[in-house]
Amino acid sequence: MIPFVVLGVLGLLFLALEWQRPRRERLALRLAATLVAWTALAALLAPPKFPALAARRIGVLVTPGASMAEGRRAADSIGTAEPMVLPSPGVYDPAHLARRHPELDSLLVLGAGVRDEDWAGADRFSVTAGRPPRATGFVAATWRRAALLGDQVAVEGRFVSPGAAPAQLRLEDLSGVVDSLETAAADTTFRFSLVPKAAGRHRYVVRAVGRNGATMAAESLGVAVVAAAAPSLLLLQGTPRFETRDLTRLLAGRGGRVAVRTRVAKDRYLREFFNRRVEPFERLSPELLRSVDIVVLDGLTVNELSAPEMALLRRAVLEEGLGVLVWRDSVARAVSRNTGSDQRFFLEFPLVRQPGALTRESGVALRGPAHTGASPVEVESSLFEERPDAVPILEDGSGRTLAAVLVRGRGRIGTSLVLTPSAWAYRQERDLFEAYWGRLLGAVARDTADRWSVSPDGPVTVDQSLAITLFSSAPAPVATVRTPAGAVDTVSLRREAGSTDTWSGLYWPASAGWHELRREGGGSLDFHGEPAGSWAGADRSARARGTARRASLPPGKGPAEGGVAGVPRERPMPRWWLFVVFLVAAGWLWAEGMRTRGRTIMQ
Amino acid sequence: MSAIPASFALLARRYRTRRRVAEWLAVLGVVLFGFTALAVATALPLAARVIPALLLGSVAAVIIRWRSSREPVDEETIARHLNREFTEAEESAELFLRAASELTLLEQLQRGRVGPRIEPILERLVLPDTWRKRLLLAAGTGLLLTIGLVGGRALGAAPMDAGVRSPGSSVAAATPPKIDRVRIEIVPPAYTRLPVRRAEQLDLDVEEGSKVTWTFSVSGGAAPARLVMTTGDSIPLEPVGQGLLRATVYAAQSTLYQVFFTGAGAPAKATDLHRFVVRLDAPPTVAIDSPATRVEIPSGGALTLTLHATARDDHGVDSTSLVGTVSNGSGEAIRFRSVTLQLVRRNADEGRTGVLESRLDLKRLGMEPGDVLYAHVRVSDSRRPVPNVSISPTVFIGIVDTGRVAIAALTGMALPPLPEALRSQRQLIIDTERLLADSAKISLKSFEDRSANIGLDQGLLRLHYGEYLGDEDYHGEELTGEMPNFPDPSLLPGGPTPPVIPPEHRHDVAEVAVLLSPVTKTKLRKAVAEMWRAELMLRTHKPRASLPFQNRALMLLKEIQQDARLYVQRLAFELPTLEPDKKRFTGELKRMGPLVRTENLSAPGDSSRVALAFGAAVRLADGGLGEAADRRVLEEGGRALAPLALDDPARFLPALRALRETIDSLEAGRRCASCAALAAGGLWRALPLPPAALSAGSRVGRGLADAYARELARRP
Repeated sequence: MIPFVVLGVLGLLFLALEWQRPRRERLALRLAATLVAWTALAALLAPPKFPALAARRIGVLVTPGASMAEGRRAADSIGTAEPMVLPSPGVYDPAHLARRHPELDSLLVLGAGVRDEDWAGADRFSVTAGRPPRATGFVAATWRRAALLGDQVAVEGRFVSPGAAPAQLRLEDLSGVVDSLETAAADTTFRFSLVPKAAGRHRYVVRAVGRNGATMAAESLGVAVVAAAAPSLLLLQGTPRFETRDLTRLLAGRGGRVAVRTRVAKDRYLREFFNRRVEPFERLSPELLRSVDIVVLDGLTVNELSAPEMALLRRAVLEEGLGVLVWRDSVARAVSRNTGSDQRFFLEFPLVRQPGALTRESGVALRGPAHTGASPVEVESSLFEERPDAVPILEDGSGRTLAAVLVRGRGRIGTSLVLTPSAWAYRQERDLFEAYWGRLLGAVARDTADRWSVSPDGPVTVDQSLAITLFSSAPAPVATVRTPAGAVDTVSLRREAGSTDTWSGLYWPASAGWHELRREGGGSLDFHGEPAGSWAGADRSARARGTARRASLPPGKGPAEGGVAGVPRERPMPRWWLFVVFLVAAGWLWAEGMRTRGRTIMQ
Repeated sequence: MSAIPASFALLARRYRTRRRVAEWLAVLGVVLFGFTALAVATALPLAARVIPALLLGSVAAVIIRWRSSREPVDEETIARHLNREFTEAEESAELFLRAASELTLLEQLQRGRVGPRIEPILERLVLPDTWRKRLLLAAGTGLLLTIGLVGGRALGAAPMDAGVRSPGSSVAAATPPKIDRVRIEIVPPAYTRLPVRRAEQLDLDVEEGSKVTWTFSVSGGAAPARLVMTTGDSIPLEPVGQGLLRATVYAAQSTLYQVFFTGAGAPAKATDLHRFVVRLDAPPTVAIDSPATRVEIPSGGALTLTLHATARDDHGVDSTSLVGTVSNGSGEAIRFRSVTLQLVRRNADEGRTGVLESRLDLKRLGMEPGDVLYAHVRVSDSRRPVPNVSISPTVFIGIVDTGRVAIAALTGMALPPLPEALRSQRQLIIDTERLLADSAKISLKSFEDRSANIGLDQGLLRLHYGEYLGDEDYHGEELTGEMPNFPDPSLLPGGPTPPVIPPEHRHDVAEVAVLLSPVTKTKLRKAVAEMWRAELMLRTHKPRASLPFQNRALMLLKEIQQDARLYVQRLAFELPTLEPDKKRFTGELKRMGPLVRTENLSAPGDSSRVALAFGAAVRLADGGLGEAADRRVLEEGGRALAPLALDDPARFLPALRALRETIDSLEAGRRCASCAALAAGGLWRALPLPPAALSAGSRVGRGLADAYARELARRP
């Protein structure tokens, strides 16, 4: 502003001086020249713009793995189109290009390319992918960022050996090698498994070691482990049952609160309380049902429940997410169309009775390194039918479902055909026994806690966008991220279409280290941001995949579809024009001055 | 007169000498002061204190020499001093420094006039020594400061420690204490008869109950110290002389230990962690070499036998005894009585091995046919105060009773009694013997008929036992190759036509044979083979020749019967008699009390202590600040890690040492991320694999929405 004020004052001063000159020859011309010179000078400071029709261009996007010189050579070789090299060091954001350069309608991507998620907002481009450089090292890896203590975590991925040299792939933790694999080809897929031994934030390393013992590639990954509390259980049984004792002992030994009511005679019940205070529960009450995560009952008990109790239990399942696990007793097996609808709600499963013996011996496929060789136990010979609301939980060695849950509103009702799981405990296969109950109880337990999902599944590096999904029943959840430095960022969440409890948002980790994703008043998820430059092979591979996928798609709706020859835009007047005008006007004034002064000396 | 210039030179030289001595004294004072100050203020070693002190002295020497060089003292200086201080010199003292030939006449006259006045002055001249005084003052100050520092520390330290000093630590250490040497004396318990031995390595392997005495030579002044075990014990080291500390421990359990100084100003840790492995006294072993576990003495056989046994112990067998129990009778009438048996012992291998022998006279023990002696050897070692005791397997020595009915009570099942039509093997023998006795009185045909009949009965008995072997129920084609060739009965001379038993397969009956133990089955097969041979002899009218086979068959059947007997000492209590008539189906519930049971089961174990310590170590390894509870948590983790380090030092001892370093660094307010990382690795290794989770946490997504999404994805 100040320069314009100064210019204005100067302009008025010059005009006044010209006006007051004693020699009145060519006064009008001189005043006009002064005005022109002054205007040109002012325009040099802020050149005026005028509308123009810009021609469409092909942009050359230079991404990691390609140099600017390569970009320029590519632009030159494009030929008739007006090429444009877009050096965007550090940020390869096609959406940014789409906003800033409306004249672009095509992109030629050189180098590794752009990740899939980074193409959002750049739909209008027609993309041509150059040949990406070959990604080597650990080019892909996925694992669960968060696990419960006791869960097995699988680390899967692909390793491309530089120079096709043989290597040993290792998964290492603080104590050394956890799992390893010898590569059989230059491009090897691997699957490691680990069981974190303690709760907390743990770092693991995947490493490729050559025959000479030298490290060919090494990348780190983080797994956040939470020690989850055992579910709270209410067990109602119409008759003493052998399996109950081992189940209650297992849960109570892990700190779970268990209440058991067993009918031992007519109107006589044995009540047992593990890790919880004694309370009467001859009748089910809303408070009692709210205090537990799972209700285990048998057909006898379901038959004995009064109508209000049945309604209460049903509402707790449908509306409050209570889990129900049903023992397969004779009443449960005999359920049919003639059974009352309330009883069928709990006891009816998509099961088909098989001819022959009621039971059979069967192994159970409890996955995991320690659970592969499950010895056979007695199971009911019925078969589960496939149904949309039936989620299989356990299978036998032939893939037949042995346990399933039915989704009922917010809750689940499950049953298992395995009749004697305690046989594992007595055969010194306690890990199988615990794995069995872990799978079954985990599948039916009340699950109203928040759950987070973070995409991509693989490594998250600094400045890479992270798609966050939150499953929460909170009305308007606010998500925050605590960075490694302790700062708290807020992540904007939007509700997913067609879902009442699924929210999603985006986050860009700015620094390496552990981040804590948390909903205010809700659950949290820890993830580790890897430093920039790590997981280079996976990054290049993801970029190449994203670019190839985008190149295979037609351009979306945008200005290019209208068939317009150019894009209207305002263009600034070239400054050299203004300078020439100023020079001519000022030159003429100077020459005029010199001429009149010379005449005065001579006079 | 000519002596005056020489006096000038002499005076100048003396002055310079005195000043140089003073300079050196000053430098010495500076060096001494510097050395003492470093010794008092720091804990540097000797060499590290000397070199800076010498450097300081060198600097002082250079400065002093530079100052001296600016004020040289020579004859002219002396002359100027005379002119300035003494009027008698009349400002003419320099004239004596010049040669007479160089002097003018007037100057020569003046020198001659002044000379006599100067000579007495020169004799009593005392040159001013301001430099010397300053230098001597500096040297003296240095020395005084040195004395003050040393004396002050000695005087000041004494009353401060007087209240807490142990008798041996008479003077507080001016330098930090350090263990130079250790001597360990291990005195094994007397009963082991092992010699006293000495060691100089801190890793020890000693016998249980040994008296272990550590004597540490400590330099740099004695300081209170303790021997700290990972089991939580802490033993003070008693001063026993100049720079000697001693502690004694009786070895009871394996542990790791470390020496700590506890005095102020001393380094806390004196040694690393070391192993203290206690070898427990193993219980003795005893084995009965002969007779075999089961001995059957045939009726009429020798009723004496010798028992041989061998007992061994790592430190010596102490007492041995042979314990016997005799059972008499059978069924519910069986009775047991204990008997004392003599046992002779010969020692070998310096008493570590005992060769035991006992002559058993079953007749003297009152045993009769059918009785059994159960005997075992009891051995105790020389361990004190409570010896280890071992007992050998029991041997069963029985006298065969052939007088009972030959119904074999086979292992696990009782054979049904013989059918009425069948005669027992003993009866067949009696019949055969009676036939032989009557042979002189009866006709040949009658003899042959009776022999053939006995053979027929023998065949039926054979078939009866053959059923239990799974044999085919006809004439034994399925039996082993041991069977003799059986002639066709119809071809036998005068022989009656034997009953025709049609060949048939009765595998359903043979199934029972699989229940027999292999030993029983073998014996039964032999018995049946003997019956085959006896039958052959009888049917060929050779009853005398059949008798040995029949007797052997009988003997084998008795053995099978004896094998079926078991001896199990009754241990359980007598169950009250059930009264079902009074209790059942009455519907009476009034006496049922309140059926409520409560229990709290959850309790943290060792692994949670290790897990907590692991969490703290990881946080410290990542550069985190130590928290108040970290030290306690790490100590507890170390205690859990110690037994593992004892069992597998290669895997866990470095981690345990690193854990101690981490704790020490926490106490000292330092950070040792590398120690914490190493400790975290060891703690991680020590953690067991957790059991499977019982929570719903591993479920992703929830409720019907999941099912809906899955169904959408499934359908095209």
